[in-house]
Amino acid sequence: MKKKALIFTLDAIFAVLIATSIIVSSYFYFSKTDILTYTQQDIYRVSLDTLTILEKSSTLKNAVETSSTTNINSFIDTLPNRICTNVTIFDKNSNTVLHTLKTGCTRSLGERTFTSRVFIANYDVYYARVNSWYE
Amino acid sequence: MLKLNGRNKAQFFSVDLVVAILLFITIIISSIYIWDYSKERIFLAEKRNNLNLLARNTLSSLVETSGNPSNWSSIPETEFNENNILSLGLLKSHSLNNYDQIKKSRSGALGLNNLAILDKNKIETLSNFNNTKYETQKKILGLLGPNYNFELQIKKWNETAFEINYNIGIPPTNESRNIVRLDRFALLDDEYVNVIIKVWEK
Repeated sequence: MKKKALIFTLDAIFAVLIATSIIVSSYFYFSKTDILTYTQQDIYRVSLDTLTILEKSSTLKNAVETSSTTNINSFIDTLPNRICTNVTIFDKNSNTVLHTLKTGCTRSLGERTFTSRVFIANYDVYYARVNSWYE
Repeated sequence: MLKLNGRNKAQFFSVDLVVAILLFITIIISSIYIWDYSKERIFLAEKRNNLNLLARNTLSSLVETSGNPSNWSSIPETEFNENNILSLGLLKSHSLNNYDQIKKSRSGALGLNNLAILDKNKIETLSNFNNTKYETQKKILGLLGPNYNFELQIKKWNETAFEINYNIGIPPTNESRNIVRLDRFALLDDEYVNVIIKVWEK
């Protein structure tokens, strides 16, 4: 009586599993493209633009002098929908003078960018900080 | 069993070997397929990254500089070329006579001029030369890639929405590929403006 048998080892299974996992993981690794750096740069530049515009149009100065964030909001609410931002103004002792958040935004949980700028109002030094993130 | 010249000969054949060969071929074929697919994806991503980078640099040059020379908008159309204009920028330059002067090098940190304030004259020059000097504008902006094009929109805030004031360049069509859109913000005539660039491939 002739008997036939299959050679079946755990070694072979491990080899196949390892080879498959290397190929699959290398596929995921190589095909992944990271655009996070660019998006962070974009939001940083929009923050800088926001601060520059608010400063150059004297909006920051007027906001401190009138204790109102209405004009700041009228600009930050025009930013693209996907971008959220808040503006905080501090006095020279780092006390918060004014704070406002773009309408419809909630507090950020992910990556954020901060930009700051010093300005003069009421013959005193203040600094504004813009904090931006993607909704 | 084959008997040849009185010696026994056998053929080695096992299911194991067949399975091993099949697995090997499967792994090789899938590796080739995955390699090719990944290469294609990386190539497309790199191309898009390249367009992204170009769009960023172009928009930064336009929104953050006044160009070189900063009085480029006073150069007549016939002399509007890459030899006379090294870079294009839309920021207001400080000179009263529209030529470079000392004030340009001063810090604009607390001044009302300098950064973020766009020059209407420069925008209009770019817009007026659009039909005749589009290729030159592309070259000066550094958009040298094959079939690369751009569209520059300047939208003014009208208290409820941004509406287009200037449309420079060529807008992308349905057949356009790799459209990269970037937004920046500035001031024009004391109004908020949204400066949008779209760099795309034909």
